[in-house]
Amino acid sequence: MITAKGAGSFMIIVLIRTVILYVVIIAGIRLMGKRQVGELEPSELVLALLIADLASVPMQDTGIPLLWGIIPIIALLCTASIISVLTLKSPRFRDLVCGTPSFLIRRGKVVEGELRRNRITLDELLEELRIQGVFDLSTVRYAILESNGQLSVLLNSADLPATAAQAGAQAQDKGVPTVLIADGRVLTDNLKKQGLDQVWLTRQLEARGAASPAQVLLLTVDEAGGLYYAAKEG
Amino acid sequence: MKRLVISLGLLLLIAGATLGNTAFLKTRTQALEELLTTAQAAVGRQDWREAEDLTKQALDQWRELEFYLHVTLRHDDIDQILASIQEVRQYLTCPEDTAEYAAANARLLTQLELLCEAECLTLHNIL
Repeated sequence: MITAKGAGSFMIIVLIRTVILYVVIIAGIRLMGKRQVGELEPSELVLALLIADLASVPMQDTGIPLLWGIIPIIALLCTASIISVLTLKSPRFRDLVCGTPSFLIRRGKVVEGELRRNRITLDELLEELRIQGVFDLSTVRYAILESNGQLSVLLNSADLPATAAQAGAQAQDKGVPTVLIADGRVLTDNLKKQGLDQVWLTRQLEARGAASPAQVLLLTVDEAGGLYYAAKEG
Repeated sequence: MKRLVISLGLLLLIAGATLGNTAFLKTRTQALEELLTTAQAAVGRQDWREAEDLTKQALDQWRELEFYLHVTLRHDDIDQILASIQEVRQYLTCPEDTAEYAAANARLLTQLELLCEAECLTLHNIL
């Protein structure tokens, strides 16, 4: 029978175990590198599913040693790390583990065999194209199903939007905008990095009708000196 | 390359630690089994005092290992063995129940054997 005191200590054990497992998983995923988080290859998807399952069991069942969760998680992360290094070293191994991209549309023609091989219906292909902003199949030169499941589309040259260079226009490189004020807080480090100072900032705010940085939601400056200003509501 | 070496090293370390754990558990459970078997032989000679001492030694040895065992084994299994040792000790206090003692001791020996067997690196455990 679980007494009130027993239930209390059980809860704290679950809490501590949860925190420990969470820290182990976060540390492991961070060690795996950034790529793991955003784009899941088949092997990475399997890894994520297995880790989630392995962590949940000792988290909930205090009768199972924590090590029974931690050891397989570390073993999985190590194995995934070894596979990831081997995929970098050997293209053949990479093809074996991650698969190869498939041309679903080649030179404007839908490749039915590839659709069947990847178990993709024509409707799903059209849907994916629409998600990419392509509504007319005849404008597609190539559609490639990448190994992470995403569809890459290359339009016919005639249907590609003209670039500034093609249009003969002068385009100025604005670079990456730097945030100077975020949610009313001045980022002084960014201000210094841009070679700007508080006086300049106050002048810019006054020009836009803001009495103080507290009234600004977002202020950014790009390398060409262009400003983006958004005032706080109310 | 560094990542590959670290990962391989870590995997080997875990494998080594788990094999070490199996060997350690085997040694300790065998020591307990010996004590309990000797205690059973003592009961056969009607030497209840020696049997009680040996079983008490087994209990003390098990208790010494408790933290390690809780970290490495399923808690239910450890508690079950502790309860079984206490049960065997209880039977030793009533000399007329020799058969009950023998049955409880045999059950305890089997539990220890199974506990050790479950940790061994065998094909039947892997499958």
